[in-house]
Amino acid sequence: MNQSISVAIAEDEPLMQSYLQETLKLLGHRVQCIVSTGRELVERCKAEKPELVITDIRLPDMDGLTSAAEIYASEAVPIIVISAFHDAELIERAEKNHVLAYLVKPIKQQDLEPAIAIAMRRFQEFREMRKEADNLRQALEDRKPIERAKGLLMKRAGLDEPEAFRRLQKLARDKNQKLIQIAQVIVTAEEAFQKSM
Amino acid sequence: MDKKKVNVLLVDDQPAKRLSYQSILECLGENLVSVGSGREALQYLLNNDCAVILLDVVMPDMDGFETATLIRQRPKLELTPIIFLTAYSTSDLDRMKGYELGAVDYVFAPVVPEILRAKVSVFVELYRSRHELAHANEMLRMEISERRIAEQKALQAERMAAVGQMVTGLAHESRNALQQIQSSIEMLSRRIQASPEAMLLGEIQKAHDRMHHLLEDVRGYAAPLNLSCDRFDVSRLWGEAWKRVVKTHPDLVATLHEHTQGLDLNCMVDKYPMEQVFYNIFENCLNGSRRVVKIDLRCSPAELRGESALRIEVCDDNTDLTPEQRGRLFEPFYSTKTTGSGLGMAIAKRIVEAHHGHIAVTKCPSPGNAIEVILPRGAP
Repeated sequence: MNQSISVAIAEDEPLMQSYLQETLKLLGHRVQCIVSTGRELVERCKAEKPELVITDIRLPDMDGLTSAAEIYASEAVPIIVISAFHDAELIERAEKNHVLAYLVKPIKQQDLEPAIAIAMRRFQEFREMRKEADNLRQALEDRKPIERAKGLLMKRAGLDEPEAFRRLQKLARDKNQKLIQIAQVIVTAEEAFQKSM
Repeated sequence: MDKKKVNVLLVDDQPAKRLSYQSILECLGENLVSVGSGREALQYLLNNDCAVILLDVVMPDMDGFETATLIRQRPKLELTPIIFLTAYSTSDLDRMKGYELGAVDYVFAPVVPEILRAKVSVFVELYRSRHELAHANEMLRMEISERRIAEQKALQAERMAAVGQMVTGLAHESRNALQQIQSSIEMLSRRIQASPEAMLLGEIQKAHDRMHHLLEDVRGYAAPLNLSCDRFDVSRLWGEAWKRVVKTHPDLVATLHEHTQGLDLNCMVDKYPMEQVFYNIFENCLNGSRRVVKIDLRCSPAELRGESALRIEVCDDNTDLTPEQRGRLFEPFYSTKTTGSGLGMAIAKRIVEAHHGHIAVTKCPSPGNAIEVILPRGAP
């Protein structure tokens, strides 16, 4: 059930680096890279596209939330931050920057394990939702030429709406094309005729 | 009318003279008290204060001078003005000199009404203004002491804020140190799992956990509270708190019975601190000795400072506090248990009061104690 995930880690403390490395391996994950600055994290994530990012909030060059925002801007990826601070302002910023889990030090293996599982699941759900939204948006976009083609058929061939739609469907079947393609052809043809007139 | 009447004491053995003085002074509108002897005068002055004493010099038994001497001996009456009523005679004037240090005056018989009235009214005004001054003085003194208290409070609040900031900083730094301990414990225990020394690591882990909880509690108690409130269904908060608290007691069989009677459970709260309140209350219930704990949570409408509020009573069959424990439950670092920092209920009180709410120990219908929380519904 627990799949192996490739993880990028940003942590400037050597002890914490080895702890995270060892613990993640123990949990069955792959540590793709382990860096100590925010800049490196951003670059390595862009190049290597890990499946999960774990970052300390306090890094020597920039804070973990800023690097999280930068990584997220180029590629959606689940991000877990680890912090010694937990004031409302930081947590709010973390939420805005797509951070899926905010762990307060000291953390244990038994905190890390469910946090990773939940972050991965949330991210999956989020991705599915986004896909669904994209599909809906596309469907809505497709509707426009179909409606216009239908309108043209009604005007030119004197059909009513159901008849016009049936004719579009029949054409698509006969030509073995998608409805949207047929509709686009009709709309283009109309434009061609209008220009010649 | 708005001035309070003051007492004017009239001492004369002859009723007819008393009557004539009364008719002269009546129009001043003060409270005239007339007595027939020095003894009666002293009696009256035991329990009453007066603006001026009119004293007849010639009286049987105890004359005016004797009476005046006795009056002056009382510290309270040292400054009360005396007007001697006397027939003009040199011997009387000589004796009167002895009293000249105090506020003393004299009116010769036959009495001229205007003069008597004028003299009495001067003393009455003097008395009145002295009282007004004393009153104003008292008010000022009260205001000053109020200010001093407010100043002390402000100073204390400032000090608390500084302590809070310090503790917050301390907690942050300690978390980094605790993380290093935690990381080392885990890594080491993976390596020496099989050896007998692993037991020692277990002890270090326990000490680490205690230290961690103590620091978090102290931070929770002392750190500045900056509430940002929203209208929130509080049953969701105690629901979350219950889920979390039960997880930390896997060895207990604990049940929560909610009796919300269909009430509107929305209040203006900051959800995280308020969830902490419920967590701490539940933790206080569960952190006892029994294995099976049943908690009843009852809601009822309430009023707080004339505004609509929600009463939430958490009742358990686990704790039975003595009156002393009940009185000290919300004191920081007071604990009847061997575990915990003793800050849980103090933190709960602090958060509830920051919401302008009220928290107290009450009695359960069944044996045991209840914690009562009253939250105002409106904007805190």
